[in-house]
Amino acid sequence: MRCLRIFSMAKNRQLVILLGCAALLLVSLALSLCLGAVWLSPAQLLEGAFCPGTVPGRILWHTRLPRMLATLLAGSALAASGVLIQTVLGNPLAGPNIIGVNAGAGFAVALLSAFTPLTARLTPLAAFLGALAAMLLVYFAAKATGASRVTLVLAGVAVASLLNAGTDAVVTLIPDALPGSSSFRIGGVEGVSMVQLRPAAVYIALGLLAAFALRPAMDVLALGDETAQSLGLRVEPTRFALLLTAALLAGAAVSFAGLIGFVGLIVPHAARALLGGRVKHLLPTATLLGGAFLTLCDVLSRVLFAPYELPVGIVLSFIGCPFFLILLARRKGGHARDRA
Amino acid sequence: MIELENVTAGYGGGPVLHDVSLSFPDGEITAILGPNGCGKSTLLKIAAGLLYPRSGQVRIGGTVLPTFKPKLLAQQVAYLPQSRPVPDLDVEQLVLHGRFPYLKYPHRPGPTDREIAGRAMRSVGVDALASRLLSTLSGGELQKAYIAMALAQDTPHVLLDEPTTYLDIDHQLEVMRLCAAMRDAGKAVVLVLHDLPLAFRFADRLLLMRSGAPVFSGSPAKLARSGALEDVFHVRAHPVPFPDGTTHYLFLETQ
Repeated sequence: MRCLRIFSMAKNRQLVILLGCAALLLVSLALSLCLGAVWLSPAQLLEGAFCPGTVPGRILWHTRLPRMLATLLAGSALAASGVLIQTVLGNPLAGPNIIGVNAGAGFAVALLSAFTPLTARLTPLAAFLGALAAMLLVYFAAKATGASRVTLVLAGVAVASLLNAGTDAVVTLIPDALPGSSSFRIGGVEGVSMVQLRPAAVYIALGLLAAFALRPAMDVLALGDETAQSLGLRVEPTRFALLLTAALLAGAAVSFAGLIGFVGLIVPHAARALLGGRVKHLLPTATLLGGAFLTLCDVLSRVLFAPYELPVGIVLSFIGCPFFLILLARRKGGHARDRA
Repeated sequence: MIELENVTAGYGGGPVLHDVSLSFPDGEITAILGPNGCGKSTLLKIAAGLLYPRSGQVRIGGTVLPTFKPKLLAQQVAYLPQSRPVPDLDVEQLVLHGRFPYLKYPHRPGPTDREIAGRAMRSVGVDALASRLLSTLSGGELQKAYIAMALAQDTPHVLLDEPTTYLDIDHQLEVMRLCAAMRDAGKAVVLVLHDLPLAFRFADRLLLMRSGAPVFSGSPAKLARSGALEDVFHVRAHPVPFPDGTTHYLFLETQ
């Protein structure tokens, strides 16, 4: 009886955490609209929302709203992508950059700008295709050598190094190719426009839908390939679909936010720590938390040294890394993915 | 009943199993014995339908293998691999995964599934651990939780790869008693074992393998008399009759 009660408490705790993350996300989105070089009160925001011609209206519609959407989309997408990749690879150290997504997207963007300058509209598509190509290369390279989880990670590291070298080569040989190359590499959402966001938002919405649809299969895959197969799961197609979804999500995020794949590594761990090691609500919790975390980091990047701004990638690393280390130190037992 | 007919199988390189024909009957515990690398685990995977033979035929419950859909196969055979990750789940969630083969999308277990999972946990004795995370369990408790999952899968065939390895003697005996209970329920139970005393004590039939083919199949008493153990393991099984009428075996090396 007592066990039953503890179990239901644990269940309630998970729901409370999920709702808490949703609330945190709403607060951070509101802050993201209000705070910046100019403070906009809620009344001004309302005024701006209905009269786009006024000063608050222009700030809201051209600067704050795209930026808020950008951090919301990129944070959620990268966190969800991280959950998928960590589960598929059974590796807590994996993130979107491990399957070569960041490197692929970066290389594609560099190539595009080198050969066909002035094609900002094509950037999201190129980034996504690059991410996808890198992911496929990693997947099939690993499959050719046995497709174990470890070979996938190794192939990912190798392909990422190769593609990063490609990006560096392009940037070195054609210095004008990527005008914002440093901010792309750090990652940031300042000056992001609706034109960039619209296609990326479609990819991310599709990716999140697919991720949530694949959740039951993902839970079974987490039991290990052989167990999953013996429970009747088609392991290879499931793994492929999950990786494809992860590449879609992360590639779309990288296309407008640059290389901030770090979110995809730490947010799933933070969500796991909050949920006390139960993965039932991991995907929704991490998705909400990712959006909230990146949005808050972006608000800080605007406020800390106002009127100057830091790229959000820098703030992210300064806050995220110590936080991540504290988290690791608190989980003394280490990650519970060791072989039984 | 699982039947193999002229099965040759392997992974990438040369074949690991050579022309194997045998069957695992219902209501019996068959223990597969043999030195490391002789193809025991491969044989188990073939019998579980997880690996397709290069040639030959595998029939599970009378149906020839590749005709099964994955979930229908999973309703026939439960298989526990030797090593696996420890997922972030509690015991009840793990055991409920045993119902996966019976669930349609979105795979949400219903009241019947919860009842079956609850029964499986009680019969294995892990019901008190239902809300414990797997990462906090001992090796023996973890193995029992997985056996409960296999029970919840409700299959006529249960295949376990080294279920007693790394467990203390108490838990080893408990796992073997659970296997005996599954056998008494009419299931075909197949185990890969390294522990000869356990195998001789609990199995109805022993299958001794050497380099990819069975060299002996029969009851423990027959294997003890056959001399096949001497060839493979360089030990002899000495029967020791106990006052209660049972016979246990002592394994001593041959010169």
